[in-house]
Amino acid sequence: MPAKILLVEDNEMNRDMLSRRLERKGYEVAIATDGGQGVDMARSGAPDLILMDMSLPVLDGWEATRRLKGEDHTSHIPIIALTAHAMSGDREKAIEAGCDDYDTKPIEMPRLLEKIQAMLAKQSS
Amino acid sequence: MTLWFPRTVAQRLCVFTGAAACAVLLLTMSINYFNRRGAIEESINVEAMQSVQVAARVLDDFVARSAMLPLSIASRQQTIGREPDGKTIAFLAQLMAATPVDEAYGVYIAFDHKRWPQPNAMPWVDRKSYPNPVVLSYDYHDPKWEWFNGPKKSGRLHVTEPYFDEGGSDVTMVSINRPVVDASGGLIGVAGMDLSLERIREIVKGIRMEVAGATVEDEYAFLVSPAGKLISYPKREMVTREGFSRADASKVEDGRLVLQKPRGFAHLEMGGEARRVFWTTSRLTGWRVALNFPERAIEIPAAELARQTAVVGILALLTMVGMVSFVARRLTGPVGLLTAAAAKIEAENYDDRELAGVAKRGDDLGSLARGFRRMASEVAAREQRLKDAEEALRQSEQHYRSLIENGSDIITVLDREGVIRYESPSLERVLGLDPEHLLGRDVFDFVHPEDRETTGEVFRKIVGGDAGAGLTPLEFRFQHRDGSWRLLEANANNLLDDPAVRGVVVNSRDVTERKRAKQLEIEKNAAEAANQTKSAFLANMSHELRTPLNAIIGYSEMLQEEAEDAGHKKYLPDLTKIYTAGKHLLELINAVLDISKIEAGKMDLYLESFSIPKMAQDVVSIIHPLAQKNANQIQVIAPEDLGLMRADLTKVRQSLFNLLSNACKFTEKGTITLEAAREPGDWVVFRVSDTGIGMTPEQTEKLFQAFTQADSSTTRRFGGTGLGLAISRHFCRMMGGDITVESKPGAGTTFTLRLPAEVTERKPGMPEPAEDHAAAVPREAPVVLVIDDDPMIHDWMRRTLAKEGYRVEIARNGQEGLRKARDLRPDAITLDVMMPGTDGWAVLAALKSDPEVADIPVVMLSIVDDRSIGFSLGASEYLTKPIDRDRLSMVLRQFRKQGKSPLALVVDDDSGVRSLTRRQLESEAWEVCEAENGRAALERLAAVRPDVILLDLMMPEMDGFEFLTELRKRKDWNSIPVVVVTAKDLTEEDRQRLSGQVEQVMAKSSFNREDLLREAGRLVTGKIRDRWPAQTPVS
Repeated sequence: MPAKILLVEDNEMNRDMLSRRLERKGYEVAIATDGGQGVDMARSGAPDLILMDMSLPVLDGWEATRRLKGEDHTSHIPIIALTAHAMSGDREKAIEAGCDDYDTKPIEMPRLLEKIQAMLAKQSS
Repeated sequence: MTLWFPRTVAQRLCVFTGAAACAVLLLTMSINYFNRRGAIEESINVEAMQSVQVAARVLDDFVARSAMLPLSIASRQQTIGREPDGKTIAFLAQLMAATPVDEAYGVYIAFDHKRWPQPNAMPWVDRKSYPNPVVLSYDYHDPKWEWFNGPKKSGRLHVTEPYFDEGGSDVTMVSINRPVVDASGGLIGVAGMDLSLERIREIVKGIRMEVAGATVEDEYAFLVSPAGKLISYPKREMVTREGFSRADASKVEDGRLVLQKPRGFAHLEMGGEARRVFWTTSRLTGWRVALNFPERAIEIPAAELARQTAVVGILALLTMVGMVSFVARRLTGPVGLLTAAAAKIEAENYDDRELAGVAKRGDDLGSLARGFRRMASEVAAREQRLKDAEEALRQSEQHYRSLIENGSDIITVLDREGVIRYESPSLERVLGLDPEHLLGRDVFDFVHPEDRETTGEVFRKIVGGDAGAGLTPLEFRFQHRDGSWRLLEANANNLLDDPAVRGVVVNSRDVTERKRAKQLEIEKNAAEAANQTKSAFLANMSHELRTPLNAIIGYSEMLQEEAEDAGHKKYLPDLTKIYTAGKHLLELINAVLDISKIEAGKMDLYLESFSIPKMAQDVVSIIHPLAQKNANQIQVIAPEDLGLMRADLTKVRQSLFNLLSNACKFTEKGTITLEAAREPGDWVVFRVSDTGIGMTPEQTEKLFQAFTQADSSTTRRFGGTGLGLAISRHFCRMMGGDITVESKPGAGTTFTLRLPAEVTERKPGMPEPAEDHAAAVPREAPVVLVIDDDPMIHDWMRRTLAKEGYRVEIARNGQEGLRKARDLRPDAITLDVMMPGTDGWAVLAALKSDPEVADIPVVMLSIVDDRSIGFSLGASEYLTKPIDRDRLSMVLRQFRKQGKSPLALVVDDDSGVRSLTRRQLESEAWEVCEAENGRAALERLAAVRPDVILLDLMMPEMDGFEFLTELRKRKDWNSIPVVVVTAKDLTEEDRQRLSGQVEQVMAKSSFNREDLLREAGRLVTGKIRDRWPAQTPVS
């Protein structure tokens, strides 16, 4: 059974591209276009991993992460934060917000895949 | 030659008195002189006469004495016979022997022959015949023989004329004869003797006359017989027969004179000399004794007299002149001083000390001097005032003149028609025109034709009396000497009615440069604004560019994979090209973004501590694929003990990455070394060296300029943006370091990156820590200890709290903070939550578990300066877990209200802690309600109103920070005291969580830095006031 990844991303092209590339790698990808939807889908869909863009409409990625990590039945889902640029502290900020890992855009596919696999492996163990 | 003429009264008095005295004196002296001279002459005459008379007497005496011989013969008439017998002859011989030779040449007796048998026999004894007398016999009765007949007749003594003794004795002589008579009176004969004239002559020669006690030179005496024969005369030979025969008085002048009368005196000329002759006649012999002396003899005492007179006269004159001048000076001296003082006043010397002496005199001169001095001092004072006024006037004039002449403004004075009457020298400086040449010219000739109308109108208004017209600066163009137009700005003032000016005064200044500068300023501002806009635009554009670019990169990458999977290998190279180009474009955009951020001053530093060796390894691991591309070896020298540094990690990483990727690009099959080391002065140095192509000095020079690569061909060959080095250097300089390069073509390149081990952020324009604020605060003022690593906070706290009258002490880290808290016992502490080393939470826990300092109020404070966010826990108190019973009751006691039973809200996720606290509080008559997290606590607050809230910071759902933030938003809850409870021993995890929570609070809070600091200040002072009302300084 393929791992289920929730991608929270508002930019359509990024969303399309990343989802297709992940699917091509064999993952089942669910898509949310804002923070609120992301939180809802995480609660209902029980994904194995969430890729969370941080600058999101409605509810931003920081807050969404905080909420998900604050709820008992979602707090275990690993979240990889995706930030637009490598600002200092973004990584720390993401960790502090409850994210389990962090990557910067533009996505370097091999690197991201490595992180996803590591996270899923950790989760299953 | 100028004639001296007495000018002063004193001089005149001296001269005239002196002259009068001299005249009188001279007259008196002359009369005296001539009187005395007459007396002298008289006395000389008397003397001379007396001399000759005495001489005559002496001769008489001598002759008389000589006559004693014949007298003694005569008196012995008893002895001698009547004839020349033996007895008589013996007597004569005896007599002769007793007679000195020189007196008597011979003695004889001539008997009256009538009685003698031998007539005319005369016994005779002389020196030759002696002792045998001879008897001469000749007829002496013959009347021609005066020597016999004279005495015979007269019966008296008779002296003969001198004669030469023909008898062979060859002696000139005279005979002195006397009659010898018997008792009856009958004549016996005549006795006589022959007297040599030698003795007589000697006597005459001895006659001298003394005048004024001295003998007269060149005087002589002479003797003349009654018959005119010279008996004695100087330098005349008379002893010989021949000489005697010529010795006639008539042959010499004075002799002739003497023969004229028996006695007298006469003047005569002899040998060209005036002489005087005195003479008299001997009674006995009838000889004329004369004294001849030169008139000169009289002049000697006369000259002496004249000398004496002169000396006396001069002495008298001097005495008189002295007295006169003394008196004159005594009288006129003060007048002279007054005159001199007056002259000095003319020469502007008013302090005449000499006159002070005169002023002491009691007489009229004294009062004149006093009056004069008063006048002089008045004149001096007036003169001084006049001088002062003149000087002031001069200075004032100079002042205004130099203001006008050196001022940059041109001062122009125009008459009613606009004709130039005056131009200040600055005209030359400003417009190159000679002020002299413009006088009399129409000022409008120089004004730009286009400006003439407006300026003329304003000028007419000003002349017409519209004072306001000249006040507004008027700008117009004025022609420079070189023909160019200068823009002048002028104000004018109508002073036509001012008698001192009589013109319109125009102040103009050259504003050409100012205008130009203003224009330039505007342009510069516009350029800067444009640059800012450009930077902002670039930043935005870069961001906007990135999104589609990400799509390009992403899709091309994806297509590569799909093409590969689908076996469309022929598309792969093209897709790779799209992908690579996209990546390069992204790199460029990122670099441009950095550059524009740097230029716009928007590049911020995010300082954090990180491990140097770990960071170095990270960078190398990223660069590794790039190194392999050119078959380069990468070597890292970064010992583990290098430890931590504090800097902007991302920027350090980016800089090193840039240096390393450059090294990889320009080196093939070489070695690239990254070496990290610490250097003295707390520096961390990274050296990136390669064995690549190297650079010339010209290339290294341009290396760090943006958009420049060492060679444009390298861009084509190696790719890259050309911005990396410029950006890296900017980053390093922002952190207080730098990048330098050493290179030689073909010999590789070494880049050295130096950074402070502890980068501190100092933004431009941020004030230096102001120590003086602290110094101004008195030592006994309440002390606030600020525990913070940020100097900006130190400075801010110092300034704010000093203003409130508090003394601020600084601790830069937790350890120092704890030490100072114990040493200083401050009245309040502010504590930074996020500090390197011992963090705020640990410090807080340590403070609160130490009974000595636990009572000191603490304001938690965290400010992340560059993000302008921060937070402050407005908590009233802190407790540490596990909660100490005593401390809890003590802390809560202050919140207990009188009257009703107090209510405490305990907010903690740990039910064990909650029930423990509840039991303790209830035992102390508190009512307790509980909440398991912030959200629950907020819900509780809607229903109850506690007197105090005990708040745990670390809770799920809503933590303490969030709760506090919410609490603070509500006005009605704002005043409820909150006691924050923290764990005494924080685990790393705890700390992470707390910091995370703080950051979250910060991210949400709308506090800016200033607000937050103000809030912190308010909290600190509030806490001190609560605790120590008496200590609160009046602010």
